[in-house]
Amino acid sequence: MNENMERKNTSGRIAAIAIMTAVTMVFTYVVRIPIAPTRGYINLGDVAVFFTAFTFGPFTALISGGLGPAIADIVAGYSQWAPITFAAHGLQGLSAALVMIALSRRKFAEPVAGLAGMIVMVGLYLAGGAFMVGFAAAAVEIPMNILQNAVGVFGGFVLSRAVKKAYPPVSRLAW
Amino acid sequence: MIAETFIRGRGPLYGFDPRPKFILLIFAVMLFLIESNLIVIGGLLLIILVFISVSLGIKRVLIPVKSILPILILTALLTPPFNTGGTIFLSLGKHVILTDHGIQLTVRLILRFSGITAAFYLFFSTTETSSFILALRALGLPYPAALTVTISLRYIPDMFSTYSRISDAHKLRTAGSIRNNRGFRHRVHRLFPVLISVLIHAVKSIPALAMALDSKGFGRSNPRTSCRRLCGWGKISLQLIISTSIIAALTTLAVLC
Repeated sequence: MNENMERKNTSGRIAAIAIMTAVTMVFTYVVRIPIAPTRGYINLGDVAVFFTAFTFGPFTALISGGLGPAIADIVAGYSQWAPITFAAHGLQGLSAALVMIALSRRKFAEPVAGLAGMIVMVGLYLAGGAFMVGFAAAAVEIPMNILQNAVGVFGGFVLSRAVKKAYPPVSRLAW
Repeated sequence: MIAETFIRGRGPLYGFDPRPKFILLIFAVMLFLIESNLIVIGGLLLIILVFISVSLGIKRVLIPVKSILPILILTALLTPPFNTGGTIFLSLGKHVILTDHGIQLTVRLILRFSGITAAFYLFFSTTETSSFILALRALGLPYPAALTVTISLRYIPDMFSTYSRISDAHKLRTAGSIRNNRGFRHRVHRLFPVLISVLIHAVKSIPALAMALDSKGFGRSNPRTSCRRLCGWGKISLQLIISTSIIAALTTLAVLC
């Protein structure tokens, strides 16, 4: 009986991670909001990472948060960034979810968790980028990464609340 | 949308088993990151570019470099002023702009990043995604992890079409009101209902997928069947010898230079 329950738990977890990885990849690769002044764009990968962290918990956020953007990097032709992306976004989701659990039911849990995720992601991209292209060139990316994270925290928080309200059984999928 | 970067071809790397190819990729990346001798990393980059032209055609040699050109320019512009050791070549007042150490570091970073980019491009262009996952599995990735990656890749086109369908449906619902308002706020405002719908659709499919995995016998202890397997290590002994020789030759060269 216990073995059967354990197997069911594992398949549920694999399903959750696989589906959220696909969602994160599509949010990163396909959904882009152009920013008029710079002709650049914000991708919504971070929205999916924070949504997963706030909704599904640390382990799903770690794997799907890392894997989704890494696959997007490979498909987009930037596979050289994939290992750094996997670590940066995976640990971003993990840290946000862990802080969220630690501060559960406190007033500013989501923004603080988002800030923790942002610091981890921006720090890891800076460290990885400095190793690959030098500190000065890597530092240029910091403002854009912070902006993307800010959009991610806000979007992830709003979407998590909306999905939990519209489909309450989603809370049972967290672990 | 298919999440695949493989380019069909008949070059020498296509017949190479993905396992030694992946080990060679890791070794090349490590060498680019650790090695500081410009001749060694320049030579390795040249070898990879030759392999790209032989395997994928001469027209594709510049594709990986083109994709990273902006960041290479940034590196070239920003690295020298922050590394001011050695002989000074150019200065503006008290500010040192260009020194021999700065130039060396810039060239090293450009070669390193171009090399890593070219190595990844060559690997993913000549290796099918399924072979790559099988190689990871053979090199120790646990079965549930490999299964998760495979299912994710299977669901990416599905999620993409779900997003397109829902997005089109929402556009049709607001067709009359979007013409004059295309600002950032409006775009974000319009996007949220689409994202919520996509996420609810995705979340609802999780229990069905879990049930499908259970029905297929996931987690049972009896051995699993597989549509495709990589051949045994013994059959690729020649490829392993070639790979080991390349690694040994490059390590010796790096130590000697």
